Amino acid sequence: MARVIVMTSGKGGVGKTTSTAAIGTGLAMREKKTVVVDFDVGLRNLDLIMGCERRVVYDFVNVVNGEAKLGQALIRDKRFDDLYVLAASQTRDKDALTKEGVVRVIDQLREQFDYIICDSPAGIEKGAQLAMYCADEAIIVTNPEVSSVRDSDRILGLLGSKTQRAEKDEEPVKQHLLLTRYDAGRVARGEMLKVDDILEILSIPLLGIIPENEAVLRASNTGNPVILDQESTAGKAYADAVSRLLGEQLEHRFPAEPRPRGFFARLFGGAA
Amino acid sequence: MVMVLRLVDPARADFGQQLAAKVAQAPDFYRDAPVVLDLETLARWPAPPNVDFQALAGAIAEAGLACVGVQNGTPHLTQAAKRAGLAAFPSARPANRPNAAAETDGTAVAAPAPRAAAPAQPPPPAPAPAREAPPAVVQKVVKGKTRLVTEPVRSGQQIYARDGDLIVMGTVNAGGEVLADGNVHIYGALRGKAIAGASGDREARLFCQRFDPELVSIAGLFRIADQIEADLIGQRVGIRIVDDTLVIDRLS
Ligand SMILES: Nc1ncnc2c1ncn2[C@@H]1O[C@H](COP(=O)(O)OP(=O)(O)O)[C@@H](O)[C@H]1O
Ligand SMILES: [Mg+2]
Repeated sequence: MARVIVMTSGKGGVGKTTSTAAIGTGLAMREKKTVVVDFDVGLRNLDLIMGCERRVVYDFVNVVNGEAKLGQALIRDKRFDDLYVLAASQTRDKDALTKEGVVRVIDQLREQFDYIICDSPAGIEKGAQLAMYCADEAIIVTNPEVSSVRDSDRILGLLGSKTQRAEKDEEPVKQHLLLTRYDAGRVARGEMLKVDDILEILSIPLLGIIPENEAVLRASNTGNPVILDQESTAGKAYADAVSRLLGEQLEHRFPAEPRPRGFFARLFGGAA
Repeated sequence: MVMVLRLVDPARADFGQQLAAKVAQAPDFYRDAPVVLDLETLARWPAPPNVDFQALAGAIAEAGLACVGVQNGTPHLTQAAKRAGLAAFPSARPANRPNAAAETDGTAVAAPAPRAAAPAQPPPPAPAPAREAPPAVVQKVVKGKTRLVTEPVRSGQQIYARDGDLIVMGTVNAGGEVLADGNVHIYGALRGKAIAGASGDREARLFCQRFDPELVSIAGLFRIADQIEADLIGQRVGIRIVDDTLVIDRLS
């Protein structure tokens, strides 16, 4: 059964697109047939991070509006046969998507793919609500700062009311917390929130902690999702997150950071 | 949340001033707060008066609030309000359905409008003030018995136990809001707003395990974060009304 997963956050610039590219690619590396869908109409970012921006002819909006067939718009990744990209339009405005159209296209994708990863725009308005509407699961991308945690909390509330699952009174959207741009040094200095405090406020299970890492910028500039750089801390952390998404139990590691003993055990046991 | 103002005498010239004075007490909380005018008192007049809703809405806007609709009017009054661009809220059961005014701009959904804290004195009784736009998510309103909430109450969510008590097992996060006509018990941290005695019951009480609220209120008396002594923050507290003031007791 296909899993539709929305990458969402409320706040912008926290790492949704980076995470969509990394986790989507990671799933394809594990031989799951995966499509990453860019819901951020008007900005069109995901294709750049995926390194396929020169191959976009038709986009998600064209398919939703019936101007192109799904097969014409799906871009196959050059590295992995199981990986596809559905790009957003750069020229259309935010209102180009309709709920009915989105539902129709996502349902079509469900027939062909194991994983459909929806990269949400920032905000809590229509664009973000459309991206989450069809979701079975949500990865809440959060930075260790108050405003980001607050926005994530708000998004979690919306997942309980603005999704197809909520409307149909089905089993609720499954929630995962992905802490990104985590800078252990700044956390230790009290400039950023501690993992425990974030978990206490949001009280959802932790999928992974992605460290702040310059490899991300390098990866974005070359169009190679950072998970392909398995030398990097962020790449390893994303690989772990993918494993957890596939049901494996892994400890949370912060590569290269000293930490108090027993901390992981506490985290691991206390995430639920 | 929505503030309900009971309209007693539409001809009172100082309506706007009174409102402005009220807002000045806590400008941050009232800023752009949605207001519903309750017409129940007017509806009981032998011959309901003609009301200039346009002017009233203007006065309310001038005071920094936003008049969104009316409730409990006669058909005649409600029609007049509608012509002035106001929404008509279903009487008595104002909760649980999208608010027409909010729907049109596609953002927020209505908050239930608790009945005004009763005494029919000059407006505004203002049972519970609010700061932001109405919460985006409104949960079910249950009538008459204790309502149990097992999930965290998140930013933008509102839960209202009408005619009964509310028990929250987890936390009420910043930006979240819980209300009850009866008592409110919170077994986690309170970081958002909590309102007991939302319909004016001054006997209602409020309890929480970890106190760090944006606002607490019982029967229209309220305190905002700035008005709470620092040494109470993080404590287990019980709150009640004694002699017209809100008393916050630390529980051992
Ligand atoms: N783990 C990380 N370390 C360093 N920079 C990061 C990390 N994750 C994201 N970034 C950077 O943060 C910016 C915003 O990331 P992006 O994925 O576009 O966020 P969003 O899609 O949520 O707006 C980008 O410049 C990206 O390179
Ligand atoms: Mg993005």
